[in-house]
Amino acid sequence: MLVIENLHADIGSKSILKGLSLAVNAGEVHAIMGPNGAGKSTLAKLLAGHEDYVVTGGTVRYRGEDLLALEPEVRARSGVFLSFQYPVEIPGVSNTTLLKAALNAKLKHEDKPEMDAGSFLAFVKQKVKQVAMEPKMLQRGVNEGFSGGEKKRNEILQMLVLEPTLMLLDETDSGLDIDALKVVADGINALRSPERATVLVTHYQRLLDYVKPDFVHVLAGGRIVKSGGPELALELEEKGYGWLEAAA
Amino acid sequence: MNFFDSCRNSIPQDQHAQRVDAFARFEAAGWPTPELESWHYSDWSGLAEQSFAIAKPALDPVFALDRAQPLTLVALDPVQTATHFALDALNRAFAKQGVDKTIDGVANIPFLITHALAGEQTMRHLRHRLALSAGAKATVLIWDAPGAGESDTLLTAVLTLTLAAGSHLTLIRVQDADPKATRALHLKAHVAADATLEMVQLDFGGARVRQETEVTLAEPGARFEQTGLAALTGKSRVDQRSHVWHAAPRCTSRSSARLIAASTSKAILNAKVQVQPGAAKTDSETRIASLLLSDKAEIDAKPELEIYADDVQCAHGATFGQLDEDAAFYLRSRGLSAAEAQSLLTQAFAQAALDRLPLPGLKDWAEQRVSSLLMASVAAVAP
Repeated sequence: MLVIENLHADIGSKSILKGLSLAVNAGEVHAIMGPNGAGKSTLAKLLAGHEDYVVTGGTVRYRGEDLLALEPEVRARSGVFLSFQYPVEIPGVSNTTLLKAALNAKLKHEDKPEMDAGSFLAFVKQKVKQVAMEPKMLQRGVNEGFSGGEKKRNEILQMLVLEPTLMLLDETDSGLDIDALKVVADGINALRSPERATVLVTHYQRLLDYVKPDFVHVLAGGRIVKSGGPELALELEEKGYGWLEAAA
Repeated sequence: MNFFDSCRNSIPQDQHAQRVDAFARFEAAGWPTPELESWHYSDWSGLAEQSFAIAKPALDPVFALDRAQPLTLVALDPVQTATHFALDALNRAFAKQGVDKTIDGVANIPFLITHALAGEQTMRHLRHRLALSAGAKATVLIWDAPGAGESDTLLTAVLTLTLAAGSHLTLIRVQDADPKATRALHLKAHVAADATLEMVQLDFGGARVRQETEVTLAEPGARFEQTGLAALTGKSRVDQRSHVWHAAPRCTSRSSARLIAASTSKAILNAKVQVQPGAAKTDSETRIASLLLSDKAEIDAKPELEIYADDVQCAHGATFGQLDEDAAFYLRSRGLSAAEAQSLLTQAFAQAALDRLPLPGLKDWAEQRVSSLLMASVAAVAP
């Protein structure tokens, strides 16, 4: 589903990704772990199409297509979803407005009819319940005045509504208490299917107790320096990243 | 003088002398130009080439929702020095209608004053006087949207407000005139002890619009809150001046304006607060936020503060914002196009002002109006 080969990327004059390769198949959950500054968030944002990152080499193919050639919105409509590490507050644009516009954009892209207002509301309310939020949050501005945990739940809510094919979660677990972490994990697990793939970017092993990965990769110095099964996460939790950074 | 003569039949005989005098003063002063300090950014001299006929009364411009108010012929108040002297004189020459009303008690239904005109190259001049008795409470909506076949019209209106102690007036002005319209409104308010004047002003249209707001917080505890939104497209020019005098202790004023200019439009706002000697414990804040959506649009925002008293709390500021790029990327990452994202964020910028509209139906209308205005202007510049 996602094939990254020898990816190099800069932000400004700084080189962040230096020959990163990764292959993610449908049905798989990959965890990307690594020390701060290794390029984890860069990878996530770059895949979503953030313009601050300039690709200087390598390729990214998503379902056989050149992902890097697509505008951010086209990537989203094609099923790529990024759960932001720091979701933006947008006062004046309600959560409902965003969800509706996002879902309609996707349906239109798939040549499907828009959902009528009644069905949409019922559908969304059910998802709101799933992430244990109050329905009245739908009328509030996007993430406006939300706590860190509420913002992350809202990301999962959007993900549940849009039902993406490739889920990229950037440190979605950071700053969450255990209840919120469980809600977030349940949301990810609910979408897990043989047709979908998940990439979890995380600094800690904690989330992986709830969302079992098939593969764990260590990103350090802009490259994947080690890959393994779920046991690698436990090893990292125990030993830290120092030994791998030295190797990188 | 031919211009006036053509209209004089519609003016009562006994007022001819002072009307003729007013028109002479208007002619002597001429249409305002940037040579006047208070008209630095607007030039109406082009209007000298145009002529307007008195609008036929077919479309009754003034009525109130609480059943038809008898329209009274407005007696002309003594001449004062107005910053738009010429326009005041023009209004005096022709004004023969207006709402003249004293509101007692609590009025549950909003009063509506329409400033619409019909026809091409027509004009109307109105002079209103509204008074709120002590403890009275009311909402007044001044509505100006194009009437049937309206184009290239001229409207001047003077509104004098008197708020007695403890009264509360919510005044909403909606200006969505046709793209060739000329509008000059002059509002003068006198706010007594513990009374509140709350204003929401929305400007969406007009070729030449001048709005002057003069508020005197005359007695302790008086309060003035104004929220403004100008969302302009095409060739609209909206020039607003507000002047608030804090003339007594413990008065409060809050001014918050959002200006959005697209295409080749121009928004001008000069918001001045003057704290007079003895007005201790004044609490005043003026905020202007501007958003330019085109290289050819222009916004001139100027908050001003003059303080002649001690022990006051006053703040003022003007910001020029670009749309938040992080927010735009966030929306695009959810599947919205760049144009949709820009339109939504611009709408959000306007929303802060729209949220102050107390009438839900009007709020819905205004949200849709802003949305369609912005969608059109954003689509025009989208890559």
